[in-house]
Amino acid sequence: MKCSEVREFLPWFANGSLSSAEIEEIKRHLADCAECRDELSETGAAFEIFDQHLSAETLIELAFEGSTASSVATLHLDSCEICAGRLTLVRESHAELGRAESEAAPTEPSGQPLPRDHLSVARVPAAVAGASQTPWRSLALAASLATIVATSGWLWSWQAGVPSSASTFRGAESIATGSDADSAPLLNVAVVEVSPTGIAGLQGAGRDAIRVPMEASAATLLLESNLVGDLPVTCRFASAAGAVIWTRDGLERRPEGGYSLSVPIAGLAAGRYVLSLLDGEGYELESYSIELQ
Amino acid sequence: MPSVSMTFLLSDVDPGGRELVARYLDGDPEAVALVDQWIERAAGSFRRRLSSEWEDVLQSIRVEVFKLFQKGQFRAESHVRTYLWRVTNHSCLDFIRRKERWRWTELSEYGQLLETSRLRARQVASERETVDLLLRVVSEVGDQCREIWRQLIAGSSYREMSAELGVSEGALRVRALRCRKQAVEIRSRLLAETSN
Repeated sequence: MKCSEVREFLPWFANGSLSSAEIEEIKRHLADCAECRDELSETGAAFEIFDQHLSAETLIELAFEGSTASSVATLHLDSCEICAGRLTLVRESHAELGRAESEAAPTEPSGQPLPRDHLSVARVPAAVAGASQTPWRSLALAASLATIVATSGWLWSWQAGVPSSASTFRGAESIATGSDADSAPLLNVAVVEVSPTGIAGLQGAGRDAIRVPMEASAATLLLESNLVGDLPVTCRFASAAGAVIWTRDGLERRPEGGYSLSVPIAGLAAGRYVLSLLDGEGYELESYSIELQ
Repeated sequence: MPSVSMTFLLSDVDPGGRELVARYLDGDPEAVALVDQWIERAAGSFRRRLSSEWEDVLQSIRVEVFKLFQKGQFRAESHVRTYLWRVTNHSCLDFIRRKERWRWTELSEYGQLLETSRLRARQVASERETVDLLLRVVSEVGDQCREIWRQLIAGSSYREMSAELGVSEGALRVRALRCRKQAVEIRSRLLAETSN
């Protein structure tokens, strides 16, 4: 066989479908032809290229989190029965998880008091985000949420000298405007990291009324960051898939340390998001994982 | 670029989960039974695909879960049930991938050459980046090339493919060669773009 003929047969030499006679003839040629051996190497690379499939992580993200597939993944799913089949299996498994959750619902620990020395939950009910649709429903949900917060001790631990922490809370920019001490605060589901000094929240802050902004609600976050230095950072809020939802420049460290900010969550789909702190050149310094449910 | 990742959702998204994990590691029969039940339910959709290896796969998942719990990998950022579901799905998918992965037939030293070049084709940064890059290559080569190589990977002979695709054997072999060269060129280009 000539080199040009051998090279054309190489994919079938590699997949083992040639006859014994063809295989032996090609082997004899390869033994004496370095260039054709190089071509065989490229054939091996081609097998790797064309045998790619979506990773397990991608399939699980698509099924569990309802993430939007990238254009490449979408094109691949459209043309790859193997990946489409695997995604179906993962989705069926996820559906079974939903059934298991439904069965367990009566005994779900929602509302159970959490130990105060643990970090608080950052699960923000998506219903809160949509609560601004109907005023009375908004207020009912807000009241329910406040009740949970107030009675379970779920989110808050206290330190002596609440006003400083309360001022920290007030100081956190709200999605509408910064509220002052005399006006009813916006409803913010504040998720805090409990530090040794503790953070005060809505409970006992002297506010009797919860006002829900019609257009949005937000999660106020106090980030106990490991970053040092006082240079402002940029905050970027993105979906788990990397789609940037909003950014905010010039976030400054709190006098007590860490950062506080409000994250607008109205209208967002339930799922996982990433909050990143970037320096002036866009270099990611820290990131936080958020799950909306 | 390195990033310091701090999840402020630590713990007590599922306070009961931590307790369950502790009881499981202590060998509490109820906890073990519950975790096992969840693993089996999570893997249920894969049962037909795993067929005769079903019990082996379940056992390997149990071992994996035990190791993860022992290492403290479950940090209660989600419900322990959801965590187990994800671990189980991951394990089942990995098993299927390994089982269905292309294997060279016995070609003596040439099989090793092919495998070496295949592994080299997987180079570049992380596993996920490699997969994404190679998927992009495949997306750029066109339907005909994808179909030819899909059948090659499925082990079809050139005679079978010629009949299936309705092209002469000679034309088929030429097209396969062109597709291979095109894919390798695209990969090199994308690798260069990634590096830049």
